[in-house]
Amino acid sequence: MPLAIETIHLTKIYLPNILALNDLSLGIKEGTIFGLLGPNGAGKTTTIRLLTTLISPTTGQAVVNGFRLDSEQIKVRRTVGVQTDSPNLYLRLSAKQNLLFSAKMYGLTHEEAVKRIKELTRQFKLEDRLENAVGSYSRGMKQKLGIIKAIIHEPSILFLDEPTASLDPIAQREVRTMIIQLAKEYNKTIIMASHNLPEVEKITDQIGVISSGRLIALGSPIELRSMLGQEDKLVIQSSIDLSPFKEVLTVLNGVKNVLLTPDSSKIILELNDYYENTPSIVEELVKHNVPILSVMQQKESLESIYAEIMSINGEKNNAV
Amino acid sequence: MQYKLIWELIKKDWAEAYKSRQVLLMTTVAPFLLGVGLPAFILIIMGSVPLDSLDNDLKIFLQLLPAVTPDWNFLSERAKGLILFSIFGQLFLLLIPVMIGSYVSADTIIGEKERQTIEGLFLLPLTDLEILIAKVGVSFIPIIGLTWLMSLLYAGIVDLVLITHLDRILLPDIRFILLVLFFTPLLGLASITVTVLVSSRVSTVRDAQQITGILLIPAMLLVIGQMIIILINTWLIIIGTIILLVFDLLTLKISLTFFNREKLVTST
Repeated sequence: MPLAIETIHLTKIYLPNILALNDLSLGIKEGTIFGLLGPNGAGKTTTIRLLTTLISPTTGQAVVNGFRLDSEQIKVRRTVGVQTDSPNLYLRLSAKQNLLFSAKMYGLTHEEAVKRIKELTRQFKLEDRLENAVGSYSRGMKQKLGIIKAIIHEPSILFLDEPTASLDPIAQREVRTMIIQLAKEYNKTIIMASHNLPEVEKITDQIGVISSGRLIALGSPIELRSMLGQEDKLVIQSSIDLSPFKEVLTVLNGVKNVLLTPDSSKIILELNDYYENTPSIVEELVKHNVPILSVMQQKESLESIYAEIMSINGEKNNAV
Repeated sequence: MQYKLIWELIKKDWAEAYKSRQVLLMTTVAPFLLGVGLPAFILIIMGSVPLDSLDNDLKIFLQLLPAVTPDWNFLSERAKGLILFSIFGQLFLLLIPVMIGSYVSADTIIGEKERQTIEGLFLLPLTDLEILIAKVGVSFIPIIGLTWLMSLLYAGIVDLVLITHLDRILLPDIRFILLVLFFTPLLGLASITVTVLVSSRVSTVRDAQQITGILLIPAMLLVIGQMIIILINTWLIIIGTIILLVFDLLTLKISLTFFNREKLVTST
């Protein structure tokens, strides 16, 4: 699959001497939902600003949608949509005026723009407030409007900065569904900076963790887990006491460790390979006539993976 | 050059600027009061006072003046006095574009930064020059429209008051046409380009308006102080127009050179 974004040693130094982004080299394939994680001030906003031509790199190069950042800025801007943390909405104007303006600036005719505004505001449940001044909107409504504004011209790449931060749970789910739909059905590439780790884990294909301007981890949630040695665990629940079977399971091939819950109704196994070892373990229990109620995969949450990445990075920095 | 997009940005800025009551007052009521109402009031009063009450100093001043119109030497002192005051009233017409130019352009340029919409502006598929043209156009187009409309009204009032004293209409003459068509709009453009230049260095609309005021008002007073001499001489108006044109082009060029997206986006 072709790359939607490719950065080559992208570096940004703000004057007088603040290294905001350090030697970022990565490729993001078309149709990917890419999660950009990192603490405040890590360089996420700088990365988005660079890739959307708001600022220029000090050194390095990037290609966005096949257009170079240094020489084809207008072409880059035409093909990206951006929802930033500041509203970027004209509060004195109505939502309709804001959206019409945006749509026309990206080449939509008046009729096309009106049609698209109708569709999107219906989807985001804003059609009843379309004629109201945006200044009268709640924070969540402004957030929705910001997202509509970013996608009104159907950009190939969408940059979202905390897209669900101010939204109610239902609206959050709608935005998540929309993001997945855009990527999977329409092959749009989504770059999403967020602190909402469960959400990032739910919808992203690839994650980049940035700290102090450096990309310190890159991969899918599964790849990050295995990179940190955090293999998935197997949890088996039974209606009987499982303690007599602990030793039987411990000696099985691929089992690294076996733990019992205090009531002995669940057994937790750390395995060399979850998918390869699970069938033989279940088979062994069935052989011993153990009534199995459930077999579950227990994953480390992205939150704990992120915490570990940050702590390893902190240790490395301290060692230096 | 993407003229269609520039026009869309201008229309958006107008829609936004004219939602502000201050901008609306500044560009409608204020110009008519200051540019037409006040000078017209002075002229009407002057036209109706008895001849003897004309101040002696004014009479001496009128004698010292070179011929303002071809029939100057054949005119009565009252007619000369009224012509002089009609020219004096045109100074107010000069003030309006300067005032509106700096006020509206500060709101539309630095206002984007203050209202946190500058990132959105810079994400649009426009070049620096296109953004600058749109932002100048937002103030310049109303300035031209208002100047011409007010000048038309003013000329009408002057002619109504003076026709009985001159037996002909005074305005428009070549001097007035040059003043209205070229000199005044270029003076307004100068106030816009200075504001654009200042806007890249400040954070709030108020700062921009204050600094522009500090820079423009003394310069304006200096120029306007001499304007009565300039206004009665067609050649001086032509020379002044050329100087203003050069000044405007120069400040626009400097503004474009100093236009720094990054600084505007990253500075608080």
